[in-house]
Amino acid sequence: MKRLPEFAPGADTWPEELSRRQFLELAGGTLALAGLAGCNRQPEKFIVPYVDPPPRELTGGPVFYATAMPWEGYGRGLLARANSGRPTKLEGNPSHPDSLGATDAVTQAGVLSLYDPDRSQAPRRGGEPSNWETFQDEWLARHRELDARGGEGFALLTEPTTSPALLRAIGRLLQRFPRAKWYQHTALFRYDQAGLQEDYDFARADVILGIDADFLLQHPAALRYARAFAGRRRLEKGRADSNRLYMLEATPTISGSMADHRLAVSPRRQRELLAALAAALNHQPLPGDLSAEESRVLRALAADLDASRGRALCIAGPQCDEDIRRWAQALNGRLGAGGATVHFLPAVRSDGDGRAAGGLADLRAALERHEVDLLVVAGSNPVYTAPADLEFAAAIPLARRQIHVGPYVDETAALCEWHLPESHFLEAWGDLRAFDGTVSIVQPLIAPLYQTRSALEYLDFLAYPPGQSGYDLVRATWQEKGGSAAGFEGKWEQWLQAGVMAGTANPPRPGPAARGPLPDLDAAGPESGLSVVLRPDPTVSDGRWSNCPWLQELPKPLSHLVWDNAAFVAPALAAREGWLDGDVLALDAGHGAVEASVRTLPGQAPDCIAVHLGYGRTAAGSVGNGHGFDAYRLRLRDRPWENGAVRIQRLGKQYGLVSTQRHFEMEGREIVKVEEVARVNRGDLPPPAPPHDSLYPPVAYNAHKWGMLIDLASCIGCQACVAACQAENNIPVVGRDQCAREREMHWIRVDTYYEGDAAHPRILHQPVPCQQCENAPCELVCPVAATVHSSEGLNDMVYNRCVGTRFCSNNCPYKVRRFNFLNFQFAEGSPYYLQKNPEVTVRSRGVMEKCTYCVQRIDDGRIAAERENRPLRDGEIRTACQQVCPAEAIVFGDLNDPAARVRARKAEPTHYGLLDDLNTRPRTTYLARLLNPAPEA
Amino acid sequence: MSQPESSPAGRPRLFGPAATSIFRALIALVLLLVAGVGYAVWQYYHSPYWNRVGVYRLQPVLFSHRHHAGELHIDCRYCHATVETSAFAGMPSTDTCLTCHSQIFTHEPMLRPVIESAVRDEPLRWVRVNSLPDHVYFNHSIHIAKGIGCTTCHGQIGTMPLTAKGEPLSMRWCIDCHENPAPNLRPHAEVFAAVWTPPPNQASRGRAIFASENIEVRHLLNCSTCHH
Amino acid sequence: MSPLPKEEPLIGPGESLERIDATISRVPFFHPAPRFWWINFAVGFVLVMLLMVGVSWLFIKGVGIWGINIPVAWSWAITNFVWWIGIGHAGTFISAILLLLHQNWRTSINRMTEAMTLFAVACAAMFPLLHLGRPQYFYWLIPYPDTMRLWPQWRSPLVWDVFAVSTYGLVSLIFWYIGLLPDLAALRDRAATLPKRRTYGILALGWRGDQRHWRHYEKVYLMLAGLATPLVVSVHSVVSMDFAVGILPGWHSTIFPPYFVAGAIFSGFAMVLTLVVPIRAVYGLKHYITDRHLELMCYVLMATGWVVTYGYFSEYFTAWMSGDRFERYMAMNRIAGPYGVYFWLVLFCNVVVPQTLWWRKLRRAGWYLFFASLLVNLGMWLERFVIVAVSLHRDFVPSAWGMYYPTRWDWAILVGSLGLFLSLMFLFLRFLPAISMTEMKRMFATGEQTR
Repeated sequence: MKRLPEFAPGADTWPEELSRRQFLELAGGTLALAGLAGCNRQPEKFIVPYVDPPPRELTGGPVFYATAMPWEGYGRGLLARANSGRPTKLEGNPSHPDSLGATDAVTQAGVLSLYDPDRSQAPRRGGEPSNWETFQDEWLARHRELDARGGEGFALLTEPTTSPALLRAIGRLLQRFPRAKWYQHTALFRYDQAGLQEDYDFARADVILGIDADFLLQHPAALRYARAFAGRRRLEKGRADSNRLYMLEATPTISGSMADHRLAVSPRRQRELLAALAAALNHQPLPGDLSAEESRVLRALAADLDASRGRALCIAGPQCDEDIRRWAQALNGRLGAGGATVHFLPAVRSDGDGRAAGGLADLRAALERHEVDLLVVAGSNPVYTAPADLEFAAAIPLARRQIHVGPYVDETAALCEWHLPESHFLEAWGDLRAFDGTVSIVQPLIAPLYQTRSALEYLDFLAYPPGQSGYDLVRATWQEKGGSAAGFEGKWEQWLQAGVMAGTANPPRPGPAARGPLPDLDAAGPESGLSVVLRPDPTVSDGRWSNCPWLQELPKPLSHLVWDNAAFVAPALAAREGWLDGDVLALDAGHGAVEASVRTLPGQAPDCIAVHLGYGRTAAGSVGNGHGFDAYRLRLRDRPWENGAVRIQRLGKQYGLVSTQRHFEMEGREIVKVEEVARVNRGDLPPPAPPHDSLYPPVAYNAHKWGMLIDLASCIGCQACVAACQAENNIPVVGRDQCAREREMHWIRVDTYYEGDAAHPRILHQPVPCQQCENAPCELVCPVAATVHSSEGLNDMVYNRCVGTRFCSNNCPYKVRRFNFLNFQFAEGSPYYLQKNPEVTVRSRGVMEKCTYCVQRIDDGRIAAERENRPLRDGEIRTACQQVCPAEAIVFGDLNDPAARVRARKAEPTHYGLLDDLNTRPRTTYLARLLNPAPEA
Repeated sequence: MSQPESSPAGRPRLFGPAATSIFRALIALVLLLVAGVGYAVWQYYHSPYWNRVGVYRLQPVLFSHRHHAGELHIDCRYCHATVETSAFAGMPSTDTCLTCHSQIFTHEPMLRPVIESAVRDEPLRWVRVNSLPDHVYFNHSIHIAKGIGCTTCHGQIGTMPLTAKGEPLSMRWCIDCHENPAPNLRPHAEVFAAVWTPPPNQASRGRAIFASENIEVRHLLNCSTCHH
Repeated sequence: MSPLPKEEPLIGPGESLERIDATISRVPFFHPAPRFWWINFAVGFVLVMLLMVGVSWLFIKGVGIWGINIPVAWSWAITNFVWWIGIGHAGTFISAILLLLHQNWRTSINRMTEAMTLFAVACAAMFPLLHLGRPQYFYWLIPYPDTMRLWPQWRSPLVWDVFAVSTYGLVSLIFWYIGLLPDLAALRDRAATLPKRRTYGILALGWRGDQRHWRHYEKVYLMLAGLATPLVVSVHSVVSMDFAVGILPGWHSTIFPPYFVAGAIFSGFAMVLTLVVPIRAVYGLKHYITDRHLELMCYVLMATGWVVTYGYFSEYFTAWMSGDRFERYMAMNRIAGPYGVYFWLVLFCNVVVPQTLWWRKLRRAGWYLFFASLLVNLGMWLERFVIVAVSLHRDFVPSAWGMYYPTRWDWAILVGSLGLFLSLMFLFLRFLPAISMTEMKRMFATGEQTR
């Protein structure tokens, strides 16, 4: 609870803006007449109709377009909403295999990045603003030279991609310049091995062993996996056919938080435990050095795996060492998982593309050999994301000329001769493939806001000036593949309509023959003492989202940290070293020390420190610069995800980290209820408590009766609902300082609680939106009736009647109300305003706000139904959080509708209302978290 | 008891004989003033000056609803095309005007702005006559669908040479109807009548429509019906 | 009825009607001890300037300049409000209730305490307005026929507050002014220059002191006393409901009304002592505000102090007795939580300090009472802070717990309100008789001072 010096009482509320002169003016009481503005007449407004209208009337309601968004080069299918031509919200495309109608938090932020004022808006030459014509002329000259030399000295660096059109363009470029070289670089993971991708079938897996595998968040198919995994945790009609998840992980992830048995162990220890597991599977005695907990879990695991051959699954995370992953494959082979719970798909991303000349290291070598005359960096930021020991920044000038193509003038652009601004995916034509190969056409919703083009167009221009439009290039790609030009238009229309190309999914292939014994795992190298494990940041990833305010302020799962990264440390370790939260450590891997602030995190492995990439940016933009530290400084070419040779030294300094949740124990209160699957299936749960009696006659809600159910058994704590709510409801971003003052504005929060011993805690998630109480304490105390009960049981919040007494928040036992303490809206005239949802009021300073069950969607649905004079259908109205949830943990509907799913869900035996004893009668209720521990353990 | 301080003789009087009366008058005046100000404020907020009811607004084109809707009986939906399908009634594009006016009155000086708009490809800027605050969400389509006619909110549009606001559009005014819509409900045939006066049997007829359209009044009075 | 030996009179020896008039009117007329006055007034005035800045900046930026947050959405502004209102209670209590109880000793302090009440209420009334997110719409709490067909939400105690406080303020003002009339007339007649006599003359509303005037005066004064008496109780009861109506542990308590009223009178009398002790010394009024007065005030202080103490006790008793997990945690959190030190300070100031008044010596030692009363004031302010903020910062759902830290602007406005109070108080001393000459003389003439 102790606040650090930075936030000491009143530290920085003395306003910079307030000059001495102003101070005296104020002393003169110039503001005596403040607020009389209320008496003005309505201002003059204008209606400006089209001169000639577009074929489709856009001034009416929202219009949805099917498109796709790149996720580490893979496609995520979307239905993007446009209001009067402005993209305002991204929803998942139900027919896309890697979306199934859901999205993750990052995808939600995709729409905001379109309007980022810091986006690069015009070409730059030598850091000076230039224009497209200049570049064109210069390139035409250069192009002739290149032609003459067959592209000698031309080096192209891209990120690995799945886009057929982009790969075609690269291919054509390599044809045009046979001597040109193409390199690929990503700071993140490869999801294929030897041309094959493992695809997991969670629907069929009863026992799952995860080794540092965050398959619910950090995977191209994470949304599909989450849907299937949660399906196996869900209680239906009083029974749960639940899977059992064992997880060995170095640092807690949301996947680990869903585990029934979780061991927090560093990568090195993981090898030892896996060796022990192998022993247990071979019915040999376990080695002696295991803790009681460890041996108990391993025994249970071994027994479970033995018992469930063909229904078991072992997943080694993509950052695991080669031999661990081979070991996992062998185990899967032994368990007969191949073809049952694991399928092998051909790789869809270009990591293994034969035409590529290698990775960043090879490019570095070529640069040193002065083989590169012209370096083109397209859609990648190697200067920031390269491993420290590669010192790539130093290598860039070794090329005579450099061209950078990217959406921002980033660290790499700063070192390049030319920078060419890249279009946003909502502005440009393209195509992308899902993890299973399914193709989606990326269609733009809006013409480029600035003088930008897509990477596809740039590459085509470089090879074949003056180049074709992205539209033509994509169509050409598919005309070639489609073979017959006949009927292409029809198919094309279909593809755009559906958002996916039917039948482009890859069939599974026979996996590698991995029968035979488990390979030995020799204890890892000479490392000893503390190692540092590196992970992509759960919100800003490898840094590509650093400049997105929504993602910076989105609480990171488990830690609820915002606007920073930290050195995550196990409580035990912190106690041993005498580190307190906020103590600054100097981490030095020999490539420049970084200063990381300590944050103790229950469930972190005690013999390693976890740090997230993506911070310490210097050229991300006004939002992303100067937050956190650059973890790439600790990263080495050969071991990107763990570094055992880091000098750790505690400096005297302190730096206060900010997290939106500040207390992680339940204090013995029944906030998150936990049940064991076995007990539930046995059916011996106490009967639900009868509703409390009241002196007042019950209120009849005879029309609609809105209610929501949140299933804590399925919720994976991914924070997507928080981001979706922010996008839908025009929720402002308040910045790091205001978060430190506990004024974050999210309408729904995903609380995290740690139970049990801090070494292997039980991790619980709980999304908490407004509970829409029937006996709402907030309504009683509002002096102006700004928050009142609707005839359908909604807890209406009328912003424009609110005078801001804040009594409602004080009286809300769930503390779900949010207040505009200052003017939190974006600066006047910021392009960010174009993202605002026109159906939701933008709140001013001094006004209370809170979750409304997306009442604007309720009204739209109702109006649509009433126009046709028909009853509403269940599922016709979905709240933003419900729609985005990959785990289908949130169900919303009309409690008066006998067929409503929400009603069926609320009938489950583990159903309960938060703080039931207060008799607030919440409309938002919960199903208890289910755990499925092994009977032996 | 004796009061030693009450003014002894010989001292000059502080105030003239009228002082008391003047003072009393002053008090009365102040009270009157307070009451007057209150009344004035109330009047101000109910005056056409404040709500602009019946105030004709100058437009780039002197467009007459009386002529087009009243005399020529052009259907409202011809220009306000989306009134049945979306929240926004829709404003005619310049093209819409030109469907007729590329043929007739093309050289009327009155029509020059329209022609110029088409030539220069610059949209016309109409002054909003009926405007609601930004925190009010009004949906035309549902009102039309349930039998609220144009003139109920926009006044006898068919008689207006220039367009003026027909009703105050104050919250009180909205709620009065949301509380009891029946008197304003019409059969669909009459919804787009440019001039409309309720028939003698409106009371019973309104109630009938109210029933057949399944209008549920309680939710019409919820704050969230108009404020999200 | 007064617990003291009769022989100690309420007016010092060697007094006469003439002298009473002279000594008391000497203060406004001849402005004795100017340095004392100027220093105090200057300090007050500077702080008022600070208040001005604080308030203006508040209106420019919004309440976010304070340290409040979610969960602690109320803190210093409300604390100050309750504290000032509390102080505002002594005046009417003394002038109304003690009048009806025929406590003659009230005579020499009622004028000053009524003034104090007015100024305290003025300071208090400021805060409910300032703490609004959108102060420009404060009038929505007042019922009036609007164009939106909306009314205030009558179930909310904040609406009751509006009426309670404004009524109290108004009645206190009238009560004080009516009481002033005869003295204003006296000043009019004794004033040296014509302008002064004119001004006092107008303020005196043509008081000539004939029998009819006196008859009406007595009637009205008694009536107002009767009217004000229930208000003394009602106002702070209503204020206490701002909290008692809430469901928050630490707020939701049936004992609040009596406990708040007692606390109010407690703090009120403390403030009276703080003011009276130096003033009677500097302006040589010890003959009228005698040590016996101080002693009597100490009794009230001790009595109300005990009621408050009982309030504390019962809060923790019920918390323990109820067995309610949240109530219990709240109690423990107040005692041992991050803000525990303030709780112990409260106990020291409001429970321990009054006990020292069992000693007669201390009861009559002005300097001691001055500091003791300051401590009580501090304690009462902290008590309100503990109730308002410390209850809020850890309520039902642990994930939403937080902390509150005041900012410079919180300080500016609190200190500024003290400045406002100080300057108003000294303007009053400068231009009006600090003690009711009329009533003193009546008491003297009728010899009641020894009863």
